[in-house]
Amino acid sequence: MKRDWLAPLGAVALLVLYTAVYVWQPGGQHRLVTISHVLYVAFALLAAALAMRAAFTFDRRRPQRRAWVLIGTGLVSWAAAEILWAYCQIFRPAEVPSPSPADILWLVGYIPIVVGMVVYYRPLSMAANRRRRLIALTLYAVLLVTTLVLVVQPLIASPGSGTTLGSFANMLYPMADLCLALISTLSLLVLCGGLIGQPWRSVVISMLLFALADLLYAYGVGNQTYMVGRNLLSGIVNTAYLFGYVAAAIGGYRQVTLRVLPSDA
Amino acid sequence: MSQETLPPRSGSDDSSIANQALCAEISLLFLVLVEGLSEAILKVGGKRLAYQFDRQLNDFASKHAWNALTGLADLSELREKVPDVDAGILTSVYLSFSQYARALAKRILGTQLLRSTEHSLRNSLPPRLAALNARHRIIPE
Repeated sequence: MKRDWLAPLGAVALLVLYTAVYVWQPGGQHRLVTISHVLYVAFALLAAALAMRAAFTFDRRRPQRRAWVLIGTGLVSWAAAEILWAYCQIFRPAEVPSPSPADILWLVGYIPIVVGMVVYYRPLSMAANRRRRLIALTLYAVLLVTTLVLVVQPLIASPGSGTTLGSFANMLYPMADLCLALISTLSLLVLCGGLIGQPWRSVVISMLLFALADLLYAYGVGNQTYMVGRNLLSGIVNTAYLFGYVAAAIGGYRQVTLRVLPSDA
Repeated sequence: MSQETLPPRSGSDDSSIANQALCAEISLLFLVLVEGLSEAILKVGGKRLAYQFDRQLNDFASKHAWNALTGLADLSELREKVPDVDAGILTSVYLSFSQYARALAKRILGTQLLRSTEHSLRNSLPPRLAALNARHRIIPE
């Protein structure tokens, strides 16, 4: 029996549960912070493990295998960043530096992920439809310009709290996320309509959620409105962030569990 | 220089040889399609999907009396043996199998990648197979 509904159903259940915890906040704000960070760490680790496992669905000599290993390596770096950030936020919330050592791990993590996505896309690029590619590039260019105008420019104009370097890191994240979303979208445009496009659908969603979360986070930090559990903006940031990892994990899971049924032809 | 004398050949021998040659070429064309699709799936979808594609194609063939028609256990035997049957019947069997293979590959790869794979397969065909493909459309435009 095909159980394609398991992962989305689990994600919806988690969304309902997390939203309830976020609104209700049993145990207070500090408990919510702890729950949120534990979930980030758990799903970042799960996403990294599933990406690594996905690599083994390909032959050793295939670029797709290298691509998933690189994506998994980046996710390991992000998971390590999450662990470090969780430790700072839960046990030493008053002493969190900006930028923190976790920022280094997050930013370093982007490198293998970008390379992995490019490695995956390169063999597909020959089959890419030029018109669709142009539309995607235009859309992402519009998104990037919107990001620059709405978030980055006001942050530069009034740096708000935190150091210049910390603000710079916060501005870098949404742009790096959009870059990842663009490359994964280009792969998806070639693969959409086929079973093998399923993992990439989740990867694109994941990167867009990270972009949204990082964008609003940068905006919230810049305007000093970001506070876990205190307002809608923070709620969207935390939920989008968690589900960025959840979607990445679903992407890896989809790749691992891809199968053809007799009824598929 | 001495010229070797060949034994006289009857008309039925000639047509049998022509039939065999056509069977060999159409089988090769079919193999190009099936192995090309399988390779594309292996490359982008992974080992398991490619294995399932091959297996389902073989299941389809066995359900459609491949063994009874050709005496071959499965489609992979085509790499070593050419079925000795009427070329017209074999061609229509391959047409039906190739339609199934393409439908299955479309479900796995999606339309765009399937088209691109078929395009590169057609371009890689030697002239004789390209001419045969133009007649029988095993790898359609």
